[in-house]
Amino acid sequence: MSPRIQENFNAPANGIDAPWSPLVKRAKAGSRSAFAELVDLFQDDIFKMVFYRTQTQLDAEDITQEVFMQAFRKLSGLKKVDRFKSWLFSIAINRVRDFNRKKRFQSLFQPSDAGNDIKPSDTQICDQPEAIDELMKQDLWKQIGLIIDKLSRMEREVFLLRFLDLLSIREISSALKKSESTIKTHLYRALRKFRKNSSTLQSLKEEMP
Amino acid sequence: MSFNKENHPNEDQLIWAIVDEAKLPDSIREHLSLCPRCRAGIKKIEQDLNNLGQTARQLAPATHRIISLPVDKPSKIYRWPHDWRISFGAIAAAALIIFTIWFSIPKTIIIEDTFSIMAEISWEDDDFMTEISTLAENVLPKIYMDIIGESYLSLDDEFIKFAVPDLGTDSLSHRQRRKGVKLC
Repeated sequence: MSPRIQENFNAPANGIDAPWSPLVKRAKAGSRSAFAELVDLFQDDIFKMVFYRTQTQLDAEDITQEVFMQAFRKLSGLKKVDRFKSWLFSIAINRVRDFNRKKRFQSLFQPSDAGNDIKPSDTQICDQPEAIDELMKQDLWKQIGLIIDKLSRMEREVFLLRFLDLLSIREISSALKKSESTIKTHLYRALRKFRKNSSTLQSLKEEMP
Repeated sequence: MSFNKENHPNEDQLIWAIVDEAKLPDSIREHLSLCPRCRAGIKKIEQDLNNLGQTARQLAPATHRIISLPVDKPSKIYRWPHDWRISFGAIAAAALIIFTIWFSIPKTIIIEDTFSIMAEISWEDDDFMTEISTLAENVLPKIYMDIIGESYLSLDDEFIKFAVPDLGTDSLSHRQRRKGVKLC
């Protein structure tokens, strides 16, 4: 692994406690304030992780709330405190899967042209001064989506966790409950596909405000 | 240390170098560590990936929602049944108490008590059956029988013989018939 990429991920190395381990220990012992500090520490990461997958702020906020509620209830079951981050991400991954499953199920009972309706957010942003920026962001998300859509489900999950959520291979392995070797294979395949579409990313970079 | 300047790794090997450099053969690793062109190639891929991550983070909105937690963590009294060791211990203790009480009571007392209870039930049953038989013979209570005068009727065999004599040899009609007396 390149040291340059690795330094971006504040993952604990083997045998060294994560910086949040004392907080997790205190939270496990029943300290609400310690858990509140953990929420402050990880809320943004979890929210963004969910947002990348749902593309809706409201849904992402709701799911983030559910993730922390579940984490609070199940914290006593966490055996290794240094795995808290990957454990939290595994809860979030499952919640997003549930959400997508529910959404697919609901879409079966909705008219097929429901998706062509103008979203409320679209009309809303037209009235705002930063409307152009917002539309540009939406366009860029579409481009990122195009790159991501070319990957298989597992490749996509590993790729997103590695390069958007900035988790280490070890943390991804723990969150997805797969061996590190499997994760590396999926990551390699995802990167090969990503390289084929790197021109899209280049234009994406140029368009960024 | 010299390295083969012409033997550059291919695209796949560069990608493997990003994923897990340790998986590459020693010769390629050595080449990658010394070749500026290959290092630049790896740096370029990493830069693209970093850009993607940064772009995504910039595009994602900020959340302002305050995470609300449950009002209070469940108390220990509520939580103890979820701990299987405590639950198991409690069940075992309850079973032990029940067995202790059961075996501490002398069995003779239990048997005697059982017999006396059965005898009592049997007497109660007899009384009940007697009452049912009385009712089957005469449904009306005794007070009604007193009112209609039925209770003073002693319909015993002697009274019946007196009222309705047998048609045997001792009857008056039989004796008169033998004497040749016409009754009608």
